[in-house]
Amino acid sequence: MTKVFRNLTFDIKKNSIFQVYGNNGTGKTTLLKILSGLDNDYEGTINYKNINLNNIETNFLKEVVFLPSLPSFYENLTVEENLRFLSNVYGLDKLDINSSFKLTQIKDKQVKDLSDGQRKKIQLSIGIQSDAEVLVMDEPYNFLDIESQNQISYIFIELVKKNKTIIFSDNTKDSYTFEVNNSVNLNNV
Amino acid sequence: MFSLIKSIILKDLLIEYREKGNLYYVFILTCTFSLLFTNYLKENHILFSYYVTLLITNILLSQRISRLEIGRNDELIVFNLPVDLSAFCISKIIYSLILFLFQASILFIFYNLFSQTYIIEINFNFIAFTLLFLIGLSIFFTCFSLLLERIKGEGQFMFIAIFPLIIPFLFLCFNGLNDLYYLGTGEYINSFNFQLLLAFDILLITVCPILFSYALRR
Repeated sequence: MTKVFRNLTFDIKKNSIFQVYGNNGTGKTTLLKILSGLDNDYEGTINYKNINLNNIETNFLKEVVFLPSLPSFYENLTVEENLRFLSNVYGLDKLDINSSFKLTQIKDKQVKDLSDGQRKKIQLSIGIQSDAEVLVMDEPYNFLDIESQNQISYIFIELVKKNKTIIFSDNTKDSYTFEVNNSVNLNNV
Repeated sequence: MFSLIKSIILKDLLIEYREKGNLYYVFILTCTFSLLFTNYLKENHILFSYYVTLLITNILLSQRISRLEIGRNDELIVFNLPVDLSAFCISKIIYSLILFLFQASILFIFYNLFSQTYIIEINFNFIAFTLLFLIGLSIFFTCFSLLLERIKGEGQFMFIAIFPLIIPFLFLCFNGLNDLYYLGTGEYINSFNFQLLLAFDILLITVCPILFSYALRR
């Protein structure tokens, strides 16, 4: 069995921003999936609030929400119908389409007719509105224009103020408008 | 859990209402097979061919239903969501059953239409047997086609793994089919073959969602 990375030890503090960075194929997505409880093909121990990640239940996925790099929705449903379905799944009353980005003009469009950037905005908007304590975002800046990227950075700061923890991945350790509290470089492991 | 099952089924029905992809698929396949079988098979093989047609079309249809659950990252869309995978599997089974029941009705009409004689008689035995047959098939094919979509690399293994389960089910159906018009309603319900088929269905509906959830464990 090929090992993607080894000897990886780190802590992620509550209400902080944690970055995973590395070149393509270094295992950023794999690591984020493992941290989100979506991949259990690893050796070692991961604890979340002093509980081993192997002993978690489905409700953990409400606390730690993973937002993949390629947003996936039901293509034949409209944005509003997708949001209604996802609000049921997350146990929320309603997901507001305009909470983070102005998306009113696309709410009646089928997802298959949307651009990658619009899909990404919907995905981020859902993640932000969920009751998650930890948001795990795989390359959140992908597909977004400069204005939306700046907006994401602002949202990150706001989320940390609301006691949420952000884990995100990127190819390089760029300078952001927010402070990255801790990071892990996958290029050398 | 029930609200989740309800919302997944409603979502599927809404997609179907809008796209009608599966309905067209059902219509074309059942039309083709019923035309072939009613023309080239003798009358005493018609009932058998009715269920074979259901079997073949259900294999194809269930794969199509499962493929609609795959997102752009080649994973089940619900996999990243806080969804109980057993509940998801049960809701897909119910949705498949709804489609298969519709298909069985269409097929019944086509068979009687193309043969120009009333060749399949509707009675309680026929309805009860068809229901058990379709419940079994929808559990089998939904569960395994969803697994196949997820475990792509081990697809061939899963196909081999399905045989020990499906062969006894098909043997039971074949035996139950022989008694369909020879026994009265009460006799048929109490017959060994029918009760074994019922027991098999109950076993499947218990085991398959758990197996699905276990196989896809996150």
